[in-house]
Formats: sequence, C-alpha cells, structure tokens
Amino acid sequence: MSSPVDAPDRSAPAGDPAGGPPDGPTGGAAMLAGAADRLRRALTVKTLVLVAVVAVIAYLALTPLGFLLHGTFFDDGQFTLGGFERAYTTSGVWTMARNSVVFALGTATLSLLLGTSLAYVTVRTNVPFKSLLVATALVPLIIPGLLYTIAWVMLSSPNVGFINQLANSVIGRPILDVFSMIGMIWVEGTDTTPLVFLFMVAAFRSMDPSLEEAALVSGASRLTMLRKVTVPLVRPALSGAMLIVAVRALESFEVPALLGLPKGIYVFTSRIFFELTDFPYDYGAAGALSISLVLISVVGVYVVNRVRGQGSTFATVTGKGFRPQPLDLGRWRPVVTGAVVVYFCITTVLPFLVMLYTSFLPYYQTFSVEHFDLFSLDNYRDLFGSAIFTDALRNSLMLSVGSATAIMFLTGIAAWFVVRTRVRGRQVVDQLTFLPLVVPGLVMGVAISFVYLRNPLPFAVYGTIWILFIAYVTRFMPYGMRYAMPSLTQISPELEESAAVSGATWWQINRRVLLPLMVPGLMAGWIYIIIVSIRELSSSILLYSPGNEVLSIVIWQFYEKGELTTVSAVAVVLVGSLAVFVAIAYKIGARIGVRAD
Amino acid sequence: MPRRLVPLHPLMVILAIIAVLAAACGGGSADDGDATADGDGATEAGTDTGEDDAGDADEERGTAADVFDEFNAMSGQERHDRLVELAQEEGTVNFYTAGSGWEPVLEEFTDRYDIEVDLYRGQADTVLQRIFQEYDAGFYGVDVYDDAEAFQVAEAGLTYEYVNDELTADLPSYDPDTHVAPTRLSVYVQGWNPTMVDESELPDTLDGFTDPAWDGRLGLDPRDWIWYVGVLRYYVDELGWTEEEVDEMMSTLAGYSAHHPGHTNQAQLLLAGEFAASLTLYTQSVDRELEDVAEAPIAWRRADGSYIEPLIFFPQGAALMKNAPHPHAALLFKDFLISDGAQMLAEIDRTPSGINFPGGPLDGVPNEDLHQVDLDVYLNERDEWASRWDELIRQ
Repeated sequence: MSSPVDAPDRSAPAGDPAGGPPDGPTGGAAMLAGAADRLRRALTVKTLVLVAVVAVIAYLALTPLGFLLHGTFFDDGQFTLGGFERAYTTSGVWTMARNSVVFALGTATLSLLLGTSLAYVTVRTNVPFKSLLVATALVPLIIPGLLYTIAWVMLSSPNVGFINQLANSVIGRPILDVFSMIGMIWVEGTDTTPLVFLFMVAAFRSMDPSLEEAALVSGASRLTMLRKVTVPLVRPALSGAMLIVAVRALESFEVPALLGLPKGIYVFTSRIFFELTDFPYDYGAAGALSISLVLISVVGVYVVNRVRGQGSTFATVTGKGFRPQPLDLGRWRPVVTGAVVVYFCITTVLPFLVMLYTSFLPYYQTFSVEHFDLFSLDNYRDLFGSAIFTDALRNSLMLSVGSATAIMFLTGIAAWFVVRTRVRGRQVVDQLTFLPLVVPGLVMGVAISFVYLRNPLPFAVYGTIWILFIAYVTRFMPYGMRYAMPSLTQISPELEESAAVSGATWWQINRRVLLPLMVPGLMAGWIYIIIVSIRELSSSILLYSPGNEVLSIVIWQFYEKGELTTVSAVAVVLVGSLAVFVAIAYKIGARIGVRAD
Repeated sequence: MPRRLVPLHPLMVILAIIAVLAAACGGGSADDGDATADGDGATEAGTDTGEDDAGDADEERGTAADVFDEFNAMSGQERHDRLVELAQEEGTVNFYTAGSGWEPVLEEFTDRYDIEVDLYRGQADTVLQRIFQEYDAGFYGVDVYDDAEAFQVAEAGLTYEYVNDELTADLPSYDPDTHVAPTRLSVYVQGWNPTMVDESELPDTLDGFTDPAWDGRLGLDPRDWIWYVGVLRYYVDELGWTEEEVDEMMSTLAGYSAHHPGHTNQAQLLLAGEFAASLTLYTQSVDRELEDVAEAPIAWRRADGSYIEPLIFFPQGAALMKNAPHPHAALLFKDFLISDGAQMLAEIDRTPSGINFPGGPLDGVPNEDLHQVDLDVYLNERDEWASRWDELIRQ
C-alpha cells in the first residue's frame, strides 16, 4: 500500500484547467525526508478510511467464497475434483446449460428493455402519471419472489389462470402457459425490471440533457438522438445493470423451481437446489456449479469495466450548471401514456389484485365472482393477532434499514476508491464486491454460521441479530456497488478538484460536493437493498434464532403450513407499507439531492 | 498505462481466496473443538454446562449424560415430580424442529410447567445442517430435536438414550435402537378435488391412475423419492409385482403428472383446480384445509372414509441431544411431546401423531394399512434411490 492513494485521477481530460492538488516537493530533497513525507501523506484520514473499507469488503466477500471453494476442492482434507465430476457428468448437463443461458439472456433482455424505457419515460419526458410509473416499477419488487411467482401461476396457469380463463371464453384457447421458458422469462424479467429501473432512473437523472437538446437542434431525429447520444451516455449504468440482471437470473431459484420443473425444464440452479436440499449437502457439486457462475461474473465485471473505459468519457455532470427540460413527446404522448398504463395494469395491478383477492378468502381459489361470498378479514386478523409477526416486522425494518445504510456507506467509499484513485489493483475491490452475488443464499448461510460459530470477532454474533446483519451486508453489497459506481463515474473529477483548489478538505469535498451529486444513485441503491433485505429468506432461515425472526421467515412459516391466504395478506400489508416508505424516501431524497424532479 | 495490469486481477482474487481458504482449513476442522468457552450466544449453554475439563470418554457420552442416566433409571410419579422441579430451575428448553403446527403445543407446555420453549424452525435440511454445524463447532444450542432426520442425528452419535417405557410402549413405530420417539407421521396419500373428480372415478389402488383417462390430470412432487421406495416395496413384497413392473407404473404416473415441488404447493394447486388429483400429498396438507373450511374442495378420503392404497409413511421423531444445555427440561419436554403434546397436535393441527388417537387424522385406518418406509434405505441408500427416481420421472 505504498502508492499514494490520494493522487488525483490522471485520466481526467487533458487540459483540465483546475489540475490536481500540488504534489509537494519530490526532487532534490533527502531520501529520508521523502520517505517520511510519503508516510505522513499515506497516513491521512482518507487513507485510513479507504484501507478500513477495503479490508471490511475483502473480509465479507472472501469468507463465504473461501468456504465455498474449500467445500468444492477439499474432501476430508484431500484435494479433489470429484465435485466437478458429479456436477458436470450428470445426464442432461448440456440441456441444463442451454436452458440457463436462454433464461438468463431472455430475462436480462426483457428487463433491460422494460426498465430502461420506463426510467427514460419517467425522468426525461413529459408523460403524465409519473408517480404511477414509480409504483409500477417498484411493486413487483416489494412482493416477495415466491408470492410474485405464485401470483403469476394464479394468473396464467394453463388450466385455472385468470388470464387463460378469460382468453378461453374470448378466443377459445389459453394464451400464456406460465409453466414454460417464456413464462419463466416473463416472470423473472418483470420481477427484475425494478432493479434496472432504479439503476437507469439514477443514470438519466445525472445526465446533462443539453447534449440531447444539442442533437435535436442539429437536426437529429429523436431515434437518432436516443441511439447516438442517450444510450451511449448511460452505458456504464446499462452495462452494470445487464451484468447484475444476467447473473441474478443465472442464480435465481424460485422461478425455475416453481415454473420450470413442472414441465421438466431444468437450469443450473434447480440442480444446485437438488444438491443442497438433500442432506448431506453435496457442497462439492453445488460448489462446482457455482464456480461457473463465479467465472462468468469475474469475466463480466472485467468486460463492464472495459466498456466503461475512461471514466471521464461519461462524466456528464460537470461544473456547468444545468436544469433538465423534459422532452416533449408530442403526438407520441398518448401512445406512450397508453403503453405505460397497460404495462402498469399487467405487471402491477393484476398480481396485486390476485393477492388482494386471495387475502380475503379462507382458502386458495381461482377467480370467480361467486367466491366473493366467502370474503372475510380473518387472514388480517390472524396476522395482527400473531405476536411473532409484529416482532418480525420490527426486526426486518431495523435490519433492512441498517444493512442498506451500511452497504451504501461502504460501497460509496469503495466506488470512489475504484473510480477516482490510481492505486494498482483497485479493480480487485470492484471484483470483490461483486463476488457474493454468485454464492447461493443457502451456501452463504452455511458459510457465515461456520465462521461465527468459531467467532473471530470480539462480541457475540452467532445466535444474535448481528449474524443476519452480516449476512445481509455481504449478500447485497454487490447491488450497492453497482449503484454507487455509475453515479460516481458520471461526476466529473473537475468538481472535486475545484473544491480542493479552493481549500476544501477531503471530508468537505465529500459532504458538500460529491455526496449531494451522488444522492440519486445512492438513494436508489438504498431503497433497493431495503426491499431485497426484507425479502431475503435462504440465508436467514439458517441463521435466525428464536426471538430474532424476520418477516421472510414468518411468511415462509405461514406458507409451509398451507396458509397461502394469510401469506397473501402479508404481501398486501407489505406492498402498502413499503409503498408509503418508498414515497417518503423519494421525497427526502429529492430534498437532499440536487436534481431530483 | 496501468490498464495493462487489469487482466491479472481475477487471478489475484483467486490467489487471495486460496490464501484465506488455507487459513480457514487450518482453523476449523470438525472434531478438534473443545470450545465450551464460547457458548454465550443464544442460550445459557455455557453457564449451564460449563465443566470444561470433561475427559474424552465424557465428551463422547455428552455433558447431559449423567442427568439422563439418572432419570432413565426412574419411573412413575416420582420421576415426573423430580423432573418438573429441576426443569423449572433451568427455566428454558431449546427446541429445533422442521415440523409446523407446534405452536399451541408449546404454549400449553409453557402454561403447564412455567418453562419457556425457544423454537427454531426451518426446512428439514437447514435444521439438520444447523445441528451438525453447531456440534462441529462445540456450540450446544439444542435440547430436543424433532424431525425425520432425527434418526440420522442419532446414527451420528449426537443423541442420548431415552428410557420411559410407560410412554414408548404406546408408540407403534418407536425405534428402541435410536431412542427416537415418533411425534408425527408423514403419511403420503392421493388427494383429489371433488369438484373435478367424481368419487366413482377413483381407483382403489395407486396403479389405477395409470388408466389413460388420468393423463394430464395429475400432479406430483418430483422430490418424493422416498415415497417411490415405499410404493415399490409394497407392490413387490405385498402384491408380488416385479421391480420392472413397478418402475413402469411409476414412469407412466410421472408422465401423466405435472411436477410441482412442495406438498403445500400441491395442495394449493389442487384446491384451485390446476389438476384433478395429486399423487403425493400428506394427510395434513388436506386435513388442515378442511379443518379451516369444511367445504374446501379437497379430499383424501371418500365419503365412507375409505382411501386409495397403499398409505406409505415415515415417522418424524424427537430425540434428546447428548449435550443438551437444559437436560431436565429436555426430558420433561420430550415426555410431553409424545403424550399430551402429540394428542394436541393431532387434534388442533391435524398432523397424525405416533399414537393413532380416536378422532385423530388416521381414525379408522388400521395399523396394517400403514406401511413404514425402510429407515435403513432412508438413511443409507439415499443417493442410489433418489437418482433412480430422478431418472424415472425425467424420462
């Protein structure tokens, strides 16, 4: 760590008028004085903070991964490749690989298209009902994955799905079989669209619209403008979103299990699932399969960094003030509005209504007006009568807000380290933050309990709520980093340099310049992590202890007992309360951030 | 340009990981832990059983062995009274289970004896995983464990003998070798949706579903290999079929069915009418729905109480952990689970218990109609049978 961490970014545009802070005298002075000087400079608060953050990230990311690799390559202390043999020589492995790739690419394409268009329309055009759009984007995220999948089974299973019942009576045949590859891509794709939406909203907010205006003024059509100006400018965010969505789809489990298995469509994760739900767990085979995912994502992060190229190319937030003018959609306005409303109805209103309908029923039923007679509030009464539910709600809120804040703090600083410094090997930090994404949740749980049963920390972790906190911070760190990086890449270093030249300290620069500019991105990441932490089940179920139950555990327990109707009531309560919460967060964000509209 | 260095970074990451890994390997092997000192987490384990200097033999027997031995030699009211007194001093019992529906039973235990029950509940595999990991690390959080996997934990030597003839004599599937006392039975049944199936259509035995009339109208859980083993044994041993004939039947049934993982999921889809009948339901997946709403469209018994044979079951049992941090409370709790607790579970939650209570979910089912899966197969031949089943259903 002898390199000067605090050197300014030399990749800043040539002719940078502000220049970096003076480097200090180097030539001519005695070697000793130089070394002392370097040491003194290396020991600044900034360096210490950076080193601490990198250490924490490395610790969090490498513990589960080390465990996974150990399980894969060692059996009873002996090095072995048996796991690979078991994983890759099972029958149908190539079909499985092909299914995985089709599923991941299909999902990524669908959610990128939907999420980016929605975000663009929300931020940059004069489309009406913008708050509706934000709701559209977020509701599928709030509904727990298991329930969202089940809602789609209720809507479009071939025999009893509401959409197919409707289609049967209108055109005489069902239109969508949810138990198919198309069904899997649709459900997973619309479920991950919010992730892309949040990414892209942040990116579009931070983009100087005068570039688009310049294109239009110079005679470019709107399409050319989108193709040549808009999309290239948000490429860092776009490629980051693509990567995370594709890897998530490769790793996703609920959709392939519930929608793929009924028709015999196996993907890698259904295999990992089988390896991991039969005790003794075959860590070797599960690990060998996960390692493919690790390799794919390491290559992915590398490619994304290449695509991002020189940070300054995308720095659209410069010293020049701008105030975004929404793009007038002109005669396309009704069309775009119509499309948005239809999308809202299909992906938000329908699943939500199915949940709402089920939550009033005594047992799960297909949609029919006759069943309205059975309606009651019993499920809600059960829910609020259960002491464990209210405790779990409190625990979940504390944990999710705590871990989201911790993650955005860590990854905000880590992103600065990766984007702004020239320390050799800084990309490793980027890679590290990404790795937990590819460790299956259950393996993460096993790894974390393994470590904290042999507690390396000075305070009790196992059996307390802290173990869940550590698990959440580790699992969701990749998302934090993906949100923080693009929001920093888009800010030109000249702003920080001007502040430094004007005598601001590192803290002042962060507090007064960088933080306010990064708020849209950090806030989006924060909200996203809060929501996914509330949904997290696969690690929590191994790590929680009596008294520390969280909401996802309670949902699972209701589901396991067959109380799907109560689970639907939980979903309705969750959607309602998180929607209010997100709305408040956006209002606050708008006040802190410089340019939320 | 530093950019040239970038391609090395993935390699650096891997190297770093291997370094950490090596450290991890050195740090925590399975059986070198005498880590009684760090037991101040979820429980008072450390304070209750903190005699650090137990010898190797004692470690093998477990820290709770003396207490268990003492009470295993006692019987009657004297045993019970003494147990209640000492258990109340401990004040808590830690219960790990994969079963659902225990809550009212636990509340009753607490009301009756003023002893708290700390409940950890997860999927079967996660609970098992947790117990093995805790024992490997020398962290003793669990007093009583209840699940089908209790037999496996007993085989691994982590449990202790339980002698209480007054109670175990009534349990038909009590296993005296492992001392696992059955608390619940998971009985596989074929269920149907009465709005889609007329009782007269239903076959008397499972093989009747191979009639092409059932093609596309069935559901099954693709993970129920143990049910397949039970069915195979029944048809071969009781009806004299060959294994090939059974495999052919099962393959046909799998071909007629949609494969939805999860018994709860099966029951919900059946209620909604996604398929007309499910081949792999548990009695309680059906009975709980009927307990809530008597007219719910789901059944596993005809109006006259008859059912489709064979009924295959495996027992879920309770075991005492050898290092139980609250041994007296553990014993008292296990007594309760297999007596009054089992009856409550059967009545309130409709889960069949180890004893077939009148009015319980299996009322009217003679014991000879209940076919237990071979525990030896369950414990030792899992890989072989699971992949054989997997092959069959994926054809």
